[in-house]
Amino acid sequence: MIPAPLPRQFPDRAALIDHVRMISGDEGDASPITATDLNAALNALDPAGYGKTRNFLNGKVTRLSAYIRHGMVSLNHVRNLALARVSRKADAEKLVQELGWREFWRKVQAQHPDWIWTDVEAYKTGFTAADYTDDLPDDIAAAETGVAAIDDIITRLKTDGYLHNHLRMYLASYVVHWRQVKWQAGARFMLSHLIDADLASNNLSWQWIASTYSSKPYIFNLENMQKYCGSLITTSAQHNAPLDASYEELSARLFPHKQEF
Amino acid sequence: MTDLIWIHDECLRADHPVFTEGKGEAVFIWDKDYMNSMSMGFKQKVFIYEALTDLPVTIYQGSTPALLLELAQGGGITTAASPNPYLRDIMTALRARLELTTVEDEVFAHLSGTPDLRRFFRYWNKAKSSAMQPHGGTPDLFGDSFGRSS
Ligand SMILES: Cc1cc2nc3c(=O)[nH]c(=O)nc-3n(C[C@H](O)[C@H](O)[C@H](O)COP(=O)(O)OP(=O)(O)OC[C@H]3O[C@@H](n4cnc5c(N)ncnc54)[C@H](O)[C@@H]3O)c2cc1C
Repeated sequence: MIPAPLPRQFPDRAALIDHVRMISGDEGDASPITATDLNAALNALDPAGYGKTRNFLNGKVTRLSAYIRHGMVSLNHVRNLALARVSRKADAEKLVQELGWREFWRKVQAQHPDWIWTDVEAYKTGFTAADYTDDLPDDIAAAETGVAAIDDIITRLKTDGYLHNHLRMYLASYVVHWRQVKWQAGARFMLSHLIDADLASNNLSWQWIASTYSSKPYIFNLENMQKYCGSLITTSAQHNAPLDASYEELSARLFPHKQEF
Repeated sequence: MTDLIWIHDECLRADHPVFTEGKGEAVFIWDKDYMNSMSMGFKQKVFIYEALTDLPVTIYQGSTPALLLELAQGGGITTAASPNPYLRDIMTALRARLELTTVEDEVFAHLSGTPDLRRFFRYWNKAKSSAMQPHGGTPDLFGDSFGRSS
């Protein structure tokens, strides 16, 4: 039997959120980013500013990911807008290239659907997949790792349902390389909180960080976080001891069996 | 027999080509099993529902393939093409029972030849000149193989 259609009109957002709680059986809160904010995000698009500042937490990133992920705006439309907003084409190149990453991951997914959950290549960390834990430790899920910057990132993820690309990279690297957890467990955790959760972009990025889809593992250090995040997250040395070292020291500590760096 | 447009979570905009190329009522199936298999969280579900309230679609709750088959009664279904294996599994199940047409979204970049997908920059070197033009430029110039490779 065909069921009655679900409602499409609500007195306010709170009522819609309650309705989704009821039909999904889930608990939790909605993201502050709403599906109705697309035009504001498109109006704010600044390709040249993006090219210069996108790596910084307060840089001019687009926050378009959830709209793009759900087909609410096409990559073509965003690209066309980016090209129209610059006087020199080259000023739009960085943004168009990042859109290209999404297209790339989707093409990979189409050709290799099995790569979404299985290692594309072996880890290049000196460890084998069997050396990594299957499940996400509870302290990570609860944002109680004791590493302040990481806990801030996890809290942001759970509150906003959105993270700047750099924060996604830091968190994924911490989970896989500091905690030796399989990328799949981290990927599933992130998917379950992001409003732009996308199997291709998320899981293949996790594989890129892990080194199962790249030539070397991605790691970062506190100095890098301080440079790109400033005081927007807690980056004091005393609260982030495991991250506070040079790349050489961290590589030696995290990958003791790896042959060359 | 009823023709339908199946709107899934990757084509939530009113000017998506699926709306112009498809015929019949547009429906979205709120499918818990599918959402769970995608590891979707509550925030993403709210976002999707909000997007749906802005679209000319009827929302039903149930199992996607079963409900679509029941609604279509042997009619044709048009939907947006997707590389997502979970959506593709549903499309395969539907194809076994009725005529399913998939519609590509607007082109981002035309590619000459099948790209090497081992590393991003091998792909980007082939895609860049097209991607840096409005609408991806003219397909002929790039020996368009978009869509064929997937
Ligand atoms: C571990 C990890 C997990 C990720 N998970 C997701 C995910 O589930 N969904 C998702 O859409 N993106 C994901 N990304 C990619 C990227 O981090 C986000 O797309 C981006 O941060 C979203 O913010 P924005 O819209 O402000 O991006 P901007 O920097 O403004 O970029 C504009 C658009 O380009 C695309 N884009 C940019 N960078 C990437 C990238 N590296 N890969 C793919 N697309 C990109 C997105 O559609 C984005 O909206 C992930 C990255 C990492 C490292």
